[in-house]
Amino acid sequence: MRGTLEIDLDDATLTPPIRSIIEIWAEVDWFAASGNTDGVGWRLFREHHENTRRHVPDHLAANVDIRAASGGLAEFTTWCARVRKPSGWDWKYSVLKPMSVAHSKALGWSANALPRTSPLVLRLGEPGNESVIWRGLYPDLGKLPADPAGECASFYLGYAHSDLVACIQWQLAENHDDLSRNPFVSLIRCYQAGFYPFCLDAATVVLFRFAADEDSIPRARLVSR
Amino acid sequence: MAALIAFPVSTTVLPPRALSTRDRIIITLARRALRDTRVEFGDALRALRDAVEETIPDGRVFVLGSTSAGPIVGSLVSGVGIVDGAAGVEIVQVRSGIVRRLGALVR
Repeated sequence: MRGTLEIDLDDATLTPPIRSIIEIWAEVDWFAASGNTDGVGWRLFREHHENTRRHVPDHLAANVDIRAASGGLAEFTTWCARVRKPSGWDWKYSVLKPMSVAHSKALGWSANALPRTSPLVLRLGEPGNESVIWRGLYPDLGKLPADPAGECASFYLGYAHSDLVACIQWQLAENHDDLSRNPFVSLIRCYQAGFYPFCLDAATVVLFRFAADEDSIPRARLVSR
Repeated sequence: MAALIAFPVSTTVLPPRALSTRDRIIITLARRALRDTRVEFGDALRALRDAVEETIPDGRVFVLGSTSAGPIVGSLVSGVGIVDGAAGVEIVQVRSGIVRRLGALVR
């Protein structure tokens, strides 16, 4: 399902690369069957992995083991439960978020630098003592089911949304038009292509895609080492 | 800029256990920073934002929506946030456009 986003892409304060990132995000067909082959997901995740390792080489293995998995919401829920175990390795909190913080700090960028009328943020409080709050671009998918599958979908969407904000923040801090070295762009493209990464540890990732027949038997096989 | 749409507020008050461990830690830190029993929303917002940044690397608060009293600011993952209210700043949870109350931020 494609969500509606509450943002005016013609807003004059949005630069072309930021507009491109938002357009990729808007094209994600959430939790729908992917028409792409596993090779497409493999290439995109590999690109994300290499761009990320360039910044945090000690946090990820040089050769990531990318496995393909598919199925319906039941299988997706099982993968979500696996990575959410307290004993599990948290990819976002261990690698991506610290990398994002370090990058913004190194370039001296913060959301305060955004134009006052930017649709990306809301400024609350008096000028000089105001708080700049991200508005977010959480897709409105309507009501997700109030069951474990809906809860997992909501969890995954929340984490993917944090990748989008990190992606936008990265590009704003870089302040140029080239998206090719932004490690979050290929991750957002992964979602756009219908692949949902579940990182099991620093060297293993499962790329899940929804199968056209949701009753199909889930599979997991090795794509590359 | 898109206008904020006011969400309806449920009369149901959720029990404190509705908060995740991470949300509980953040709320505790925010409360610790707010010493007065009556706080302005701006002060509560800064305390919440600081608590999120202290707890989560690259942690951010987001505009989750609004009620007739003003914007709701909090976590997109859990839907837990704060909003100004007649009796002071309240903790709420937003799910599918419904706002459920979790009690006062400062007691």
